[in-house]
Formats: sequence, structure tokens, C-alpha cells
Amino acid sequence: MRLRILFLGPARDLTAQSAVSMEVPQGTIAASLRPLVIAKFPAIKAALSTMRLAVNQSFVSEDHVLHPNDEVALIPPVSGG
Amino acid sequence: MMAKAHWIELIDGALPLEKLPHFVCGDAALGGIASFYGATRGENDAEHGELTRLDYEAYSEMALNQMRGLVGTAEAKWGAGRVAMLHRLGPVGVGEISVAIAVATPHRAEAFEACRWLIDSLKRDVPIWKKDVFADGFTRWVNPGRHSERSEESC
Repeated sequence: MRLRILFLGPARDLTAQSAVSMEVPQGTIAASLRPLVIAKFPAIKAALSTMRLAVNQSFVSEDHVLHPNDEVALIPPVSGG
Repeated sequence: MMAKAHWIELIDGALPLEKLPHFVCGDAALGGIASFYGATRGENDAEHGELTRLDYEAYSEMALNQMRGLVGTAEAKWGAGRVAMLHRLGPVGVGEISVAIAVATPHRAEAFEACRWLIDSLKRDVPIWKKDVFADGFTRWVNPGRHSERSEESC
């Protein structure tokens, strides 16, 4: 299935991309997406463990099951305010 | 007529601060009003000189969702009947306001508590990022872990 992955703020600088489309196995969960992202974007490896995942604009837990066409955002530690 | 109770917005450019008191005041049931403004604090880096500004960006759609959720919690927990929560995007010069929160509740204790909780929660759970921009052109993302003094003591 196909996902839309967003690299936001500091994450975008690491991958040099703001958004990509990625093909992943059906039933992929948030936790198992992480190594797939690292495989495609090795530069994000060190920072990825500090990032939270949001699916369709809401934070999700690591066991959240992803669905086709989900918008998955990598959320580096936020620094608003 | 019932006034609109929540004002949640991300704004490119100066925040309309003069409108906040008018927005949160005027409800006869809400006697305590507290507000918080966060401004860019000056900084001098040994290598890169003066901090000239912060550049803010957001995952806007999610940031607004998160802000609405926080305001909903403040309403349920502290009776915050009117809340304004505004955050600036783009360049914010030293001394300028980047975030403004105003809360009206029945009494003052809840107003202070809700206001404090809203800014703390915004800094933890709303997807907004800022970048330091120095006089020599050097830029770096503000890492809330590395710059704990900035993220905890100021906005």
C-alpha cells in the first residue's frame, strides 16, 4: 500500500525532502515504518528515535496500524512558543 | 447573542495583541482573566554573534487541531469559557511576540492555572518549530533538549 510521508521542520533538512510517497506492506504499523524510512533515508537514522509519528494530523502510538493513503508525518521535538 | 468563545490562529506577521482583551472579556460569568505573551529573547553566540530573529514554521493543519484540543481541555477542566491562542509563523525579530494566550474562567486561580497549562502544552504537543538566525547568517533549529533554558524559561 502507498503512504504519504511528511518530513517536517528539522526532519526536512535531514532528508532534503518535504514529502515522499512510499510503498509499504499491507498492515504495517507505526513502529515498523521506522526502519523502512531509515532504509530509504539513512541520514535520518540518529534523529528518528526522537521523532513522534502523526497519522492524518493526530499523534499515534507505535502499534497504530497504517492504512492506504495515510498521511504520516515525522514530528521532531517541537519548539513552538 | 453569544460571543464566539475560542480564537485559535496561526498568523504570518505581527499578532493583533490589542484585540485579545476585548475578545476574552465581557462574559458576566467569567471573572478571572489571565494572559501570557512569549517574545524572542536576545542571545549572543560566541561564534555567530547576535541572534537576529527566529524563523517559525508549523505543520499547520495538525497544529490547529492540537490547539483546538488543548482549548477544549481547558474548557472542560478549568471552565475556560473564552480562550484566545495565537501563534506567529515566519520571521520574528528579537523582542517581538511569537505567542499569545488569554484565558477567561470564573475565578482567578483557574485562569492562571489554565493559562500556564496551555502554554506548557503548546510547547510540548503542537507541531511548530523555530530556527535561530544569527547576525553572520548562521541558522540552526532550536532543539528543546539542547536549549533547555530557552524552551523552559521563555517562549
